[in-house]
Amino acid sequence: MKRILAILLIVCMAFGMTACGQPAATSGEKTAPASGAESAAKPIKIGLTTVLTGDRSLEGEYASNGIKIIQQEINDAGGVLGRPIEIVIQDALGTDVGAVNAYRKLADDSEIVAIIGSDSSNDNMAVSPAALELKIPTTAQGSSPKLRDMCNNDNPWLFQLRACDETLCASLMRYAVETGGYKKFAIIHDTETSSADQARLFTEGLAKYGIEPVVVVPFTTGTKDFTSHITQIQKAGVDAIIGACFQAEAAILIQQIRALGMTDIPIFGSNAFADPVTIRLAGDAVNGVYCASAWVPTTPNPKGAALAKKYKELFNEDCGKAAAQVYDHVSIIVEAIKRAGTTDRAAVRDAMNTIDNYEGAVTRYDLRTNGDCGRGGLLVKVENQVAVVLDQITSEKIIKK
Amino acid sequence: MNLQLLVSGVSTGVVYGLIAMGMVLIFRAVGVMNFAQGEFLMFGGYLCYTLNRLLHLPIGLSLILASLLMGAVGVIFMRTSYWPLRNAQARAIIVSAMGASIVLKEGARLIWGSIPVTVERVVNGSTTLAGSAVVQWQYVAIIVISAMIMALVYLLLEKTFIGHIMQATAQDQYMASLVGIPVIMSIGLTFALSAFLTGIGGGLLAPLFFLNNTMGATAGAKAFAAIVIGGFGSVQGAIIGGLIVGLVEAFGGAYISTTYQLVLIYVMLVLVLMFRPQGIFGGKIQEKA
Repeated sequence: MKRILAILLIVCMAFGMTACGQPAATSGEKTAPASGAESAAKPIKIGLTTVLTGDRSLEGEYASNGIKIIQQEINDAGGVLGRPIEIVIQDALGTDVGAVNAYRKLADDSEIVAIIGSDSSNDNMAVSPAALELKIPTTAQGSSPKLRDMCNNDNPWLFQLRACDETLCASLMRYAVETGGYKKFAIIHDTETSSADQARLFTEGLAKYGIEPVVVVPFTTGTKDFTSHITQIQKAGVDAIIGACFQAEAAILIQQIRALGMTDIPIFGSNAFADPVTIRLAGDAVNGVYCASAWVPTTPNPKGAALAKKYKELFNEDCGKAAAQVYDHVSIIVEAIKRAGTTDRAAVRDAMNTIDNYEGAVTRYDLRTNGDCGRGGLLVKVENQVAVVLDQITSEKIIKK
Repeated sequence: MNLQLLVSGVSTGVVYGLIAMGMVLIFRAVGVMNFAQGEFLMFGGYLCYTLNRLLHLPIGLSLILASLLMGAVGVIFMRTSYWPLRNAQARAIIVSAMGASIVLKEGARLIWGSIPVTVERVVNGSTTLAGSAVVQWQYVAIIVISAMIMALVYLLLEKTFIGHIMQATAQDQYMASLVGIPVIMSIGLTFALSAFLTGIGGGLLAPLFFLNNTMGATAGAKAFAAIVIGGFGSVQGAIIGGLIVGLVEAFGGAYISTTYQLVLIYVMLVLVLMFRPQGIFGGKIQEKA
């Protein structure tokens, strides 16, 4: 027995020594000529807070995949300032408190040049004081007008790299009234902040035509059975339904509207209504849904189309909005670092304000003022379970001197 | 309209009833509320999805196999989350169950991803009743299947030897062991039955409400409300409580407020606690205490 153990020990030691020796030789080959330039090749770090766990973890899955693509593209092209980039991800947990904690964890690393916020205006507004206090260029994925005003007026370190909901919601309502000719609307929306905000913007969009929604039906996040909500809409006798919520609720809502007999009623929805996940879950029921979306994988934008194709090849899924957004956010931060010629946070922040006509995968960006930097979106209709782009929505950037 | 609401309320109510029954069985067996019960619903749904959509088995077979597999999940849950702490204070077991709930939730996310998924319906299509009430057949299937399962569980507990063993262990573990009942096996069976009951609910609801890894939390909370309303420790109470919660949700949403559906349930809960703290069928548990 002792002999067997001794042999085993010798084999293990020999294996261990071989294994230890292998990477030393390999790394020696790579690093020896660059030992002087080791610091120059040190990656430039960019932080990302996204939702990896909890209710909104779909966002984190998309964002993490998008990051893999853009990080590889930039590094394959030689990186920036001769250095590769490295994206450090922290879990924002899907809550504003989680977002702030994740942000502060990233901010503790002095090598992080800029931080990308999560896909929620609420989270973005929650981290704003920390961004201002710690003076870190921070990009926000949220699209609320409140966030826009905060970026424009209160926090020079926070950039809303997204078209403001005001533009998209107004555009969708214009289409519904002017092109669709509908006059009697029901609005059904989630009570969480961004969906409630979108519902308000839809109402304001209708008010421009002197139309008030016949019925407004709010529901709490996580609602699964919409029978009582849809029953109220049926009673109201409307021409069209407007919805604002996240993907899973949007898919259930669309299915239940159709299943409860409203098979032909047009549905106009927020971003999530033409999301690949909503389309897949809702199946045939989603056909005929209209949406003013920041992103769909069928975008006519060449850079966006290339990203959608690559994403599909790599992950065998359609590219979601959060993936495309973080792709653009990293590109813009890298562009700012390039323009600044340094990784100094203040210089990068100043350089960001010089970007005014940047073509991203999602849209064109104008960062001369910090809010509403995404210049447009897409008006889409779902046909045969594909989001068909009807028109491109653009808006002029309003810059107050 | 009322018929539409009734069918919707009863069908979601029976699923809350299934979850609540599962919770009650565990509560009676070990004297502690299982706060991971909602995750059994989610996990059962995902197992059904794996069998139906990934392995392409028919939905009926997938439901049966998924619920049987959930039985095994229940036993593993018992061995890892309850059994090592069986002599500890109740609060330790509750914390352990909460930890297991996170493990199940995040484990499901790692295995099946964050993108919501669905399974085939047991019955497709819908019918129109009383002129305008549209009723989806899947809702009817949920009611029928759940009622059958509840009846079978009742028969198992009341009329079979295994049921008597489980009930005896639930009443007094020490006495049960003295008369030769293998307590670990009996408790294991109870956890298996509990996970089976709740898991099948996940597979039945999946085509209507889709599956995601956090779906169990709200359903678990509503099932807990059902238990309090029906009476702690009462199997019949769990079923009736589940139905009441489902109906309050459906009719309260339509006639009072869609925003405050959950609030209505908790108002009802408070009223029950104020005027009948033992719940509708709660007499027995009070005597036991």
